[in-house]
Amino acid sequence: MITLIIPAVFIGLLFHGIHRKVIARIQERPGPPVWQEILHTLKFSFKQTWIPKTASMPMYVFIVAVSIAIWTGAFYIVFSGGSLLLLFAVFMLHKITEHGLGLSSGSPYGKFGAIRSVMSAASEIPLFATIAGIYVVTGSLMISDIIRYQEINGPLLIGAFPIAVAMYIVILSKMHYGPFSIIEAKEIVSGNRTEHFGVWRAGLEVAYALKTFVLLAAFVLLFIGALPWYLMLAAMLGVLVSLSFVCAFTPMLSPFDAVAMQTVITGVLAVYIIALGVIG
Amino acid sequence: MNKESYLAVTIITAVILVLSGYAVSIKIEPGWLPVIVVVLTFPVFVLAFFLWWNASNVEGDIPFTGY
Repeated sequence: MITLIIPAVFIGLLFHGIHRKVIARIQERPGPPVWQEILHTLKFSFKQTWIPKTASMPMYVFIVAVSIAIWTGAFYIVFSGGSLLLLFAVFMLHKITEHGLGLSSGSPYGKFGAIRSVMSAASEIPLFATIAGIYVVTGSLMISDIIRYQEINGPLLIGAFPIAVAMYIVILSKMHYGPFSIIEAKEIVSGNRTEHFGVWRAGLEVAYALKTFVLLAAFVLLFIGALPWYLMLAAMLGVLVSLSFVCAFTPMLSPFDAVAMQTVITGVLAVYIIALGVIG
Repeated sequence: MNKESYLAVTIITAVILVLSGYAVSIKIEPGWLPVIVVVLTFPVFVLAFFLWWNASNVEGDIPFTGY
């Protein structure tokens, strides 16, 4: 497992770089090199590191470790074919870490990011729709069972397209520079990560790289099925580039609009799932 | 902690991670135990590793400790 986590971190960081590059090229900018996020992480790890006086010291450090730990756990859940409910639990914990990151530093920008993180809890609602929809269609919440179902009945991307859209929106809400990325909007500097610098920021970059890798892998496994590793990476890259297109073309929504949009999408999907359950 | 302490933590956690990875590969029972160990150890390894190469070899001035 550990032999896979470290490459996953580097691939996740590379994906972040590709994400930035694609957005930049769409916006007719040269953009940074694709390995920029790997360099960023290395750079932060070399920067002078301390704990701000205003910070709640144990939480300030501990929250970085927790961020890495939960996505390490999620990595195992996804690749061992574990339960979707556990993945959902990781999402909930991630929301708490986002909140904790902002509050632990004592910075007003961080606190604004934390408050926006709570407000944007609606970004987790489409995941309810994904879980409910997948259960209605496949009769199981185990990722291994869902992969087996797709081997017999074909990819859920075709068979249950609206559910795939719900999961896609969940991933979109977690992408940098996306329409729902209100917790790290530029008007609040870096939002909840503002005061985490040096080694702490490098640790966060590792956690977020794992997060991106796990979410893209989960999307491919849940809606396309098990693939050889090179096709899996290609499919993840395809999903990522499509997300980058969405991020490049859509402005960042205001916090209230972001919540409203995600709630409406979930409402539409709830109708679809109910219809699916009733009509069969 | 000084640079040597961070290095010690990095090496200890790296050894634990390698052993846990091996335990997962030979499907040791209970299966969740090495996974929990990896989940708890990997963050410590990452932070200790970064703090180790970040730490200075020489005695420095008193660092700026924020406003």
